Amino acid sequence: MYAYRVSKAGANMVALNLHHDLSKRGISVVALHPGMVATDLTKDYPGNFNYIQPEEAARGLIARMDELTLRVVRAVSSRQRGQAALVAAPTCPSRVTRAQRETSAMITLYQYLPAWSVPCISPYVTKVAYYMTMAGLKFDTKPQDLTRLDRDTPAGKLPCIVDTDGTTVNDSTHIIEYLQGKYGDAIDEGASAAERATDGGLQPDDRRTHLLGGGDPAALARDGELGEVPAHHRRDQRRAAGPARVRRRLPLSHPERVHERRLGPPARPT
Amino acid sequence: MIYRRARTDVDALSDFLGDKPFFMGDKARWVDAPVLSILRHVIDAPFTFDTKDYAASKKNLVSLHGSHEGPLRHLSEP
Repeated sequence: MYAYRVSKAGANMVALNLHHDLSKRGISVVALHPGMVATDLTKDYPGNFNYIQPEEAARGLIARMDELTLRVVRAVSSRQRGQAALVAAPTCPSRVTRAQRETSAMITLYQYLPAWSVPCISPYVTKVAYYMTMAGLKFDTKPQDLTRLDRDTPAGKLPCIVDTDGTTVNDSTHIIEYLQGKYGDAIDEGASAAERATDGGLQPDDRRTHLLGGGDPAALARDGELGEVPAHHRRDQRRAAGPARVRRRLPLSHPERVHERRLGPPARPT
Repeated sequence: MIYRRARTDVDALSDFLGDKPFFMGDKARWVDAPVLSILRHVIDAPFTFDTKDYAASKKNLVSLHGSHEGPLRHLSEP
């Protein structure tokens, strides 16, 4: 029994060392523990162990593998029913990169909390969610830490979106204008001038800013509703991306650089 | 006073919508986003108030709001 247990500890250490050596080359090594499984090997064991069935163990293993795309777990061991344990569970670069690509291909909508049948207790957040759904824009919703609202959002309010390129926009109507300007507006295609005017007149936002500013980033920046990427969003993205890589300086003609020149350097939130 | 104003707004929405499937006619326009949002926040609210009852009495608003329940359902689940 000593030899059996020592061999298990040894296998864990081999996985950790392999991971340590190979992670620099973008290879992750993971040891998965299925838990105490009822098999032919264990059927004659003395003692009253809490065995799990092979199907349950397999489900646990698959669940743990899926988690590899989401977070880094180190040296976890668990004997809970149905919970396979990860011993060395570092980020799995190829899968994380894909997950990251999916994340960055999505707009993030920062919100308060979901309630009854609505995505958020704020009708303005719901309005943006409806617009993006109608316009076929892929987005993800995240709760905003309200203690950081003033620092994380350009105008200290919600809804706030962080676009795929990191552009941050406040105010539901401004967000819709910004999205129309950036992604085009399949919804309003073919609308007559009279229809557009009525659209505008029915807006609950009494400033009617969309008639003045369009989706022009410069106008949004003037109104203080366009800002730099909030720190928490950058942190989330960094975590998803794994180790930092040296960023190549983009050519001057790149849309991001053009955008930067038009807006000037992003202002630090006060 | 506020409820009276809200009733006027609900009347305006209902009269403007009439029998059309969307606010601006046969096709969804971006104005439908705020309208649907507000209807959902009024009609689906888990408490009773005058505006909710009044909006719920307008058949065309209720049917507009009901026909767009699907797309956001996944976002309201915790």
